[in-house]
Amino acid sequence: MPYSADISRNNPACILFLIDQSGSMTEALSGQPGFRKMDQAAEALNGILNSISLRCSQGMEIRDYFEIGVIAYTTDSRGNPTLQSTFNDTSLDNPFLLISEVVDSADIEERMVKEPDGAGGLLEVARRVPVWLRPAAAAGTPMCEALSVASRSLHTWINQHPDSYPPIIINITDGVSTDGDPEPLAQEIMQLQTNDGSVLVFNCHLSSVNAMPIQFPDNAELLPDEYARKLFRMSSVFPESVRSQAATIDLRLGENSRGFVFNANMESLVQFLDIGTRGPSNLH
Amino acid sequence: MLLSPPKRFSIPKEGNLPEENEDDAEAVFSVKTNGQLTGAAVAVSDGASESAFSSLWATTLAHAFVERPPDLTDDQFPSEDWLEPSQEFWESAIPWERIPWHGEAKARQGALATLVGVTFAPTPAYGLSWRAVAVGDSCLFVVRQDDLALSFPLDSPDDFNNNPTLICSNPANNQGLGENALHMAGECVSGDWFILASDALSRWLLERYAAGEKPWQALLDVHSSGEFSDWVGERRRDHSMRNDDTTMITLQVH
Repeated sequence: MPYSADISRNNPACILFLIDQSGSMTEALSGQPGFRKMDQAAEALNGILNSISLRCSQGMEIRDYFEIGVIAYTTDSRGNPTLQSTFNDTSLDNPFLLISEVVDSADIEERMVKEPDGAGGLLEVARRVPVWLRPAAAAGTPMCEALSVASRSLHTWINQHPDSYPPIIINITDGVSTDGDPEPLAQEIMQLQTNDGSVLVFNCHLSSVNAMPIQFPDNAELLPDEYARKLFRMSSVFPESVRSQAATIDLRLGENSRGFVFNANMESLVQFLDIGTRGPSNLH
Repeated sequence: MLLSPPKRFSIPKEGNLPEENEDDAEAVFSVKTNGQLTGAAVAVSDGASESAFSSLWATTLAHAFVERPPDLTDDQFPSEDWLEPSQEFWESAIPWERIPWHGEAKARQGALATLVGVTFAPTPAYGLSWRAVAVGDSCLFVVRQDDLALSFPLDSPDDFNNNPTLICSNPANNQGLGENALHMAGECVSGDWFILASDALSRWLLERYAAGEKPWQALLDVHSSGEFSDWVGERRRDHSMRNDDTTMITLQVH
């Protein structure tokens, strides 16, 4: 059965994030004045990386179940693509770090967060919070270039890890590509494969359009605009093993559900990957 | 009726170091008064790989079970009172001052582990009775006259998944534990074998049994850690057994 490869330190899984840092990301997110799309992009990435780190944490150390890359894409003022692999000592050809190295590279901030006090109320406590990406935005959206670079680096990764769980791309964007139609490129990337299945492409659409947030839809009908529908088509249908894993955390995904969210949280994606015995999903 | 000294074997998932083994097996046997056995307890606990400090928790639980065997005559085990000393020990053993941010967040949630435990007690006519409790997918098998007399709490290879019921070191995350703990009891017959095993081995045993084999024969033929390691390694390589921490206790009634 595809998408059943054991995710382990000998056989890590790969997640490559593509982060849109174009000028339009400075616009406010729908329904959240003062909170910009670029703020949400950074928050989404930091949140997902935090979740992955926790899943790999054994307490004192991190088990390297994942290799992670982050590529930010924008253009210079003349419209030429400027792409950056954001982790230190990485490149666009090889943007990946082991998750333990990713954890070591985080800036740790102390923040006050509200947590259940055990008696039905909330308690504000100081917690250490990791930050990997700060909000940034300028100029154009070379999504095609970003997908081309992603495709090359994944091609190399797959050659080095032919038996691994298929790599996952998570593209966080407001959806308006300025260097052509990204859809065929996304389809091409979905043809890349390890012996365990094809690359999965997921999209997190951040929009100023005033419409209902949507998580993992199985059709494009309810999506508010052409950009959302295009990103929906550029997103992989969840394989069966992912759907059954999602069901274990009480998230029911339809047979045609895709890895696409519109102004919604994508963190639960991290829970869809099987890396061993887990506890109940409602741990405090 | 007597019990043979239990044999215990445990090896980590291939690719992991021995200290990363999250399974633990504990056996206490020599509880005798005036030459007569007054009781014995054995337990296997399997720490959930996704919780932090779960190896410490599995060890703590298995130790607790054999060092202060619970009264299993009612269905109250594992009670909050019984768990509390273990939970306090686990909490006190966490190096909170030097724990990294990711570990602190995980440790606050608590560690998780399965538990299958059996207590033995003499009966008036020099017999022996047993009681078992199970939380999660670590299993007890009773082999009688070369046949599988009991498989508990799971009895089908299809019953195993990645979300077994677990005991948490954080009391706040143990709601509903009483309902999820399963109980079983019986009388020993001379010659009975008791096998306690963590999930990968239990599942393998049930699969081979469903295929018409007598898989316990190979298990009961294991006499050393080296043999166990080689034997499990072969099953992993031919993909008949999942690559996971693997633990087993065997003991026989005479």
